[in-house]
Amino acid sequence: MSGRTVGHRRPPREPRELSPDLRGGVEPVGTGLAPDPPFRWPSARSLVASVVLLTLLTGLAYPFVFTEAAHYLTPATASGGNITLGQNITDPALFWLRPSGIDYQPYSGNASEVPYGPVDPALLNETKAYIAEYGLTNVTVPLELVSQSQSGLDPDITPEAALVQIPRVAHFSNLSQSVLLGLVNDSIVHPTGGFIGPQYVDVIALDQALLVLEHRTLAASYEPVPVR
Amino acid sequence: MLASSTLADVLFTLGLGLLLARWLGMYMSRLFQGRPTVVDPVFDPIDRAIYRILGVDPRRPMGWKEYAGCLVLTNALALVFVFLVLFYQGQLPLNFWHVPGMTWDLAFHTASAFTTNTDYQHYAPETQASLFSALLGLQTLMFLSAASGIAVLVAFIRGFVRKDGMVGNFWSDIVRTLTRLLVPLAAIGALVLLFAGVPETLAQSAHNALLGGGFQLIPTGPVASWDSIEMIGTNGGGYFAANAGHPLQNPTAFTNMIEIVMMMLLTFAPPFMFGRMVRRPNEAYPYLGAIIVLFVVALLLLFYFEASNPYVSGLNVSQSHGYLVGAESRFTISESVLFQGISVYGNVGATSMSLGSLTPGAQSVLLWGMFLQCAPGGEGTGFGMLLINALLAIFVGGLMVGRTPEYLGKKIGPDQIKWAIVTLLSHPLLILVPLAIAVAGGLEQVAAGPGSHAFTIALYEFTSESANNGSGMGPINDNTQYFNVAGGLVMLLGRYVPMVAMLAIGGALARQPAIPPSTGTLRTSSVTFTLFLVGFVVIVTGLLFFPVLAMGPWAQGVNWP
Repeated sequence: MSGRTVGHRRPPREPRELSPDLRGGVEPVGTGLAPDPPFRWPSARSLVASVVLLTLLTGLAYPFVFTEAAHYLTPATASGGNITLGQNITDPALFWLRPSGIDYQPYSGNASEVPYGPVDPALLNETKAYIAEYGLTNVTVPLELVSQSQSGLDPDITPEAALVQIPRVAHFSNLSQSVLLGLVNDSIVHPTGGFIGPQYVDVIALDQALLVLEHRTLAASYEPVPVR
Repeated sequence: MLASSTLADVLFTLGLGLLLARWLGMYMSRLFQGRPTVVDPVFDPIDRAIYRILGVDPRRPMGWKEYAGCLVLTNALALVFVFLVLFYQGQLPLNFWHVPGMTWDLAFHTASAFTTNTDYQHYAPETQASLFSALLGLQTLMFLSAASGIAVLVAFIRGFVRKDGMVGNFWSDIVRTLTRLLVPLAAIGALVLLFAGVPETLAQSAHNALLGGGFQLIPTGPVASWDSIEMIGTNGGGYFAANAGHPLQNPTAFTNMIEIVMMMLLTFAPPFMFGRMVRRPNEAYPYLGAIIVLFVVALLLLFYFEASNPYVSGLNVSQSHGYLVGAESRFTISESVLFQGISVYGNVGATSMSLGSLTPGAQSVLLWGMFLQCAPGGEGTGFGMLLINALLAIFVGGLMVGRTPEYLGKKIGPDQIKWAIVTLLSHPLLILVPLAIAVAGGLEQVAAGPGSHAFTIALYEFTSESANNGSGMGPINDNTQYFNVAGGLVMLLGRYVPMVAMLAIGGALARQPAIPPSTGTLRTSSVTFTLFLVGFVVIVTGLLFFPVLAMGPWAQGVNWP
């Protein structure tokens, strides 16, 4: 009559009639086992209906409701087109990304796996080759700049990995090192709320800012990526 | 060497996850005891309609054999259905890129992987699965497998409470898990991810402007809704091959944090649910304590091992941000490691790092988590494993002091111990036998690199499959008939042997009357018991698995050969 007992710890109706021995504990050890319950096969109808219903609800309704909702709730981000992915930048007058195991191809058909283990001679050789390719043989290089990310599509690098490229970019562009230093510092993304995430630089955004500053457009050397 | 902001980051994430898990555990205990909750007015009519369509009586209790029969048959039927979907996806709709059907062995492996909550992927989702397969095939199984895991745990726990030999009604458990837990949670999670910037569209690709003009074609899809059930249901199969390292699936450090919390929800909720269901809320804490001890030690080791790799110290490189090889730059190394830690220890199996390039120490810590399977382990089954370990520990402890082992008023006899040992031993057998065959066939055909590294990769593959984890270490040549068929069987046995054992133990316990506690009863809600349990689990797992750890990651650590 008093309605529900939210927060009350005792269950309402434990089938007490089934356990007469609960309180007294008089049953000797080894007796008083309940009978082995009977076995029944589930009906074919229940089995088929359960799989069909599950498919309709979680496979069809759930994603379709959400894609429709996203269309109205977050139209700007729902398509995914606003998220920067890595791309192959080879112009020496621009900042470069980390190397990619899939050549920055989102549809490569392969997972980008780092092809060497942690104590593999290939790790040393590949890293040395990347250091030479990035023209950084004379300085201490942040390891991440000369090693692959997991996705092969990471457009971001650490601030140190951007700073170490400034001499090369200055040499090949019309901009001085101090201007580039300012550009890099301005493009550093800081941790969300002061503690979530690292400080990093989005290379694509940085290069975009650099091109704008130079009033330069890049030769359209990039074709739409063919699929399969 | 944890900076204060890193410490705040890690503690905030773990704290939030635990807090929500505790709340969920209490909600779940009400759910499975059939006690009223605030959501009843919404879901009661829905559930009633579902029961009517299925033609079942949700109030009729079942014995463990009938419960297991329903579980295995629904899972088997779903597996066959999804196998056919994958095999014939070339002829099915929603196939924008004209993806051909999978080979029979790959379809078998994939369907088994998603049915068993493993979600091991021997295929690249971008180019080898259609939208139809992803949604009506695989995503459906992500819900079913998560619900199955919880249902089995709930039936197991009922064995400690009931005395009539019944473990509950399968249909009621599975329907209530889906409608009142998984679907609402997945929906909330998807909403949060949506607003955090994860894409959600039925278009299968988008054009992204390139710096020099022109466009880059990028794969998209209903990623937020997939991501949500992937993490909450401890599934771990990625919408993309790069999984949670892909910028579209995990765009920022904030989404990374959300996904970590999502993975914690239902993996850390069971101890709290257990305490409430056996009507001794304090029973939650020895288990929670054991899980936290095992998990936090692992995390600290991961942080330590991933801080730098001494092997590259001969090069003129700096590792001031940690060993970021194979990790993403938009996360700190501790965020990547925290994600990977909970993902592997919670048997989710999502990856945000390239596991093959982790340091040998980190690789062995991850393998150790999958050998344990219970710190906290996958949804439902992980805590079930911990309970099985606890029963064995109590049995051993009881024999040592010469008492009849009992727990929560139920005697632990030969029936229970038989099934517990089968569960314990099936894990190494399922890993080592197919591994030995693969190694005999030539390691160099499996993976490149030094022998110990290739061995680690092959060991990781079968360990991940037997533990129903699903994370993969690569690169590995595993889309072969041997790896697909053997892997599929390992996942199925690694899933259903422990599940049937849990139901059998629960069923046997449920037939017993309750013995009142006496002076000889082991006091289980104590720190001593937690330490005893941790020691037991570590020693047993160590004895079973130290030899393979020595041959794989540890041998890498001493740079052999």
